[in-house]
Amino acid sequence: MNAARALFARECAAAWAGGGGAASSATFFLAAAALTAFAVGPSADLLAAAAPGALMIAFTFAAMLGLEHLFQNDLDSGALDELALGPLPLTAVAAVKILARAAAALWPAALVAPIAAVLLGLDGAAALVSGVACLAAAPALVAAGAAPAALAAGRPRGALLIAVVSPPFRAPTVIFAAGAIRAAAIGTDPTAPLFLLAASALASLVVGAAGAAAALRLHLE
Amino acid sequence: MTDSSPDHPETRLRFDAVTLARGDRVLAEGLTFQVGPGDAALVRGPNGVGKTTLLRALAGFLTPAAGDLVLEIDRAAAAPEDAAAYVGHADGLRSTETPRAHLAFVAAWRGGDRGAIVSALETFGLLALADAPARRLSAGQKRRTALARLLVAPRPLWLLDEPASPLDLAGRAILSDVVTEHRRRGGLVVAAVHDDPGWPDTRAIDLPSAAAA
Repeated sequence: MNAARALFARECAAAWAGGGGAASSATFFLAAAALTAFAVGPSADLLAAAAPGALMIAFTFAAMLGLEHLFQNDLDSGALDELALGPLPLTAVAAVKILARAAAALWPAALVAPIAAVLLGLDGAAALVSGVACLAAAPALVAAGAAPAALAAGRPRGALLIAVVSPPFRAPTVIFAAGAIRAAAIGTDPTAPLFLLAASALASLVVGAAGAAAALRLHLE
Repeated sequence: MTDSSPDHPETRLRFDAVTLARGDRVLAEGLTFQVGPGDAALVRGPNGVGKTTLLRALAGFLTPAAGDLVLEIDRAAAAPEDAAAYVGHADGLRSTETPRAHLAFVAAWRGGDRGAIVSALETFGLLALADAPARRLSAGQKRRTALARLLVAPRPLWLLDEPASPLDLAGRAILSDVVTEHRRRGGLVVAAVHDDPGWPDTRAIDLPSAAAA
């Protein structure tokens, strides 16, 4: 447990030391939401209908920023060897790294999601649900790109590989998260899609961590 | 050196007809040797012959193509993560990481002693640089930091891949002292080297060049 906590703290420190990992996704997310409002035009009805989907699209792309560096540093610096000799299996190492990245780089963006929601014309309840949905979606969105990020580490055009391979794995997260926001926006109970979102986020974390660990093992040889 | 750590448990490493390969290319065949408490084995051979591959196999990062590789602590089979410390070509430091933060992480990650961090920094002459980010350190200073890991999270088997190459004379002398102390306490060292590091009473593992593919 100590080891996992130390790794989590190290990853968060690295995300913040890198020069505003958190600020860049939050800024990107807010900017994308604001531009969507301009792009859709002055019709309030149209904007309200588009808002839940637009919000999750913006958050999903914010989650892809810099994802190709998730394992790159550890591979380049040789730290992967030290991680492989630690007490946790590589799958757990990958899971901790995914969670730390979600917390350090994406949860700040999730915290400003209610602001983005208001920019898109959603009301208070839907804005609140947007925040919760983004918090839950963050680990899943990182996990979906973890295995491609591990595979692509040390190779040119890693970001392209992530962009091509990961979208299908992000689909359930985007569907349930946007569904929860839409439910709140039309005044129905968002609990069911939120639970589905949490379940799919957990499944994504497990599958993504296992896939990333398999790719990391190739790098160790 | 002042080192109050207890002696290492009886650790043995045995290679039995081990074949190492990279992909389809066979690097070394029929490697058989043993190292026990206090031994230092120097892996020698030309570039590309498989010295690093051998060390990485010992660390458990890859599996030999054939043969048995047995690591024992007190006559029971042991996992590399319990027995081995590895210092490779890359020093394992992130550019923004300081030596102190790096050693603190290693102590927590590998179950080491936080109290040993300052003395390890002192041993390797890093106290004045303890809070400088790695991108400001020279190659030799980074290697000293990597070697300090050996003292912070002690393991009986040290796997060192050309440990002295970026070090200055003073650094090599420190490394030699640290290795001698480690061996005195029953530790093992397997190091890939090109130059004779000047450690007393070592054994050689000569890897044959150009093994048949």
